[in-house]
Amino acid sequence: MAECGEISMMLGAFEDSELEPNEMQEVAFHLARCESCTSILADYSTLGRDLRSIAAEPALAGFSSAVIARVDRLPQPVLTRIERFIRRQLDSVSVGSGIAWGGAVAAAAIVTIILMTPYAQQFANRATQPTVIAKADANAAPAANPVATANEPTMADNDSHADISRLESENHSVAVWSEPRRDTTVIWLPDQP
Amino acid sequence: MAVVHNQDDAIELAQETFIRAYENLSKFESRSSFSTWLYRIAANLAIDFWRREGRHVVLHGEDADNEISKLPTTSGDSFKEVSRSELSARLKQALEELTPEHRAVILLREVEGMSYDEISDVLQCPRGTVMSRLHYARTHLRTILKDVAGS
Repeated sequence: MAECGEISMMLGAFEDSELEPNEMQEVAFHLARCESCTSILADYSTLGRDLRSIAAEPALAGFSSAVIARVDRLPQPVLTRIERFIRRQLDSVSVGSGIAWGGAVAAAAIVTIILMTPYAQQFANRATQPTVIAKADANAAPAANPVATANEPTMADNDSHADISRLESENHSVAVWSEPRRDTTVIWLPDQP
Repeated sequence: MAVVHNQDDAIELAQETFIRAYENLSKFESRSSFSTWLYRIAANLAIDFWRREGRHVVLHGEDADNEISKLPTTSGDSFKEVSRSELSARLKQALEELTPEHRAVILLREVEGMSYDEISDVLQCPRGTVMSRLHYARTHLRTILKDVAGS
């Protein structure tokens, strides 16, 4: 049987059920035979009960509003102050004019999108297809060797502005252009001599 | 908090806990729960308060009467009521004699009902330290209170 000195170190943790299972068994076994340690354990239990009984909670009426008032008095970062200022301004605007403002902003956004879309597509095309874009002259004859890879611009630059991504034909007398994202394919035949 | 003698001090510390939490919200890492983090702030503030006060307050005269009158009492048996009031006054006095760290650990366990792991997390000390502090605090309080209980 374990000594009282050894067990007394574990009595509090036994009361709290914080010992390992084998230690719990050891203490329980000791307590069944030791009146002194049982008395200490009972005192710990009473002590806990007494501590809980004197711990009266402070009155919390108006507590949250007092905390919020103190938070408002704290020095705020510049960004937070700007954000609050904007929020206050928006709050002060009436509902009707708020809707008007919202409509105006939405309309401006739509117009901007419409205006920017062709340019955005052009940029996107250039970004995704940085390789070749050959420009063709609708009136010009095809190149001597129209069979070319996309990396080899073969057509002369001109005013047609037709973006052509591929040149495909194994027949030297025929040139075929397929424009990207368009259902148009142009087949060029050289003039007959 | 509830064992801070002055009610105003208790409320002030509770408010300060939330202010500190608000100011340091960006530093909160989700390694522990938010409530544990809040408890940690509160415990640190309370320990700092006890250290700053550095007092071993003994309630007597009107203060003691006021405090005792606020205590919950059992009804019916006047002898038990008096005995209980005396015990509670001595208990508060005994708590004042503990170091802030020992006081914090026993209150977190007995009043807040925290597990040893939770206390370890709040006070940021090893579990073994929690156990030894609790053992010391209980032994100390029991020794002080034994006279009252015996009488």
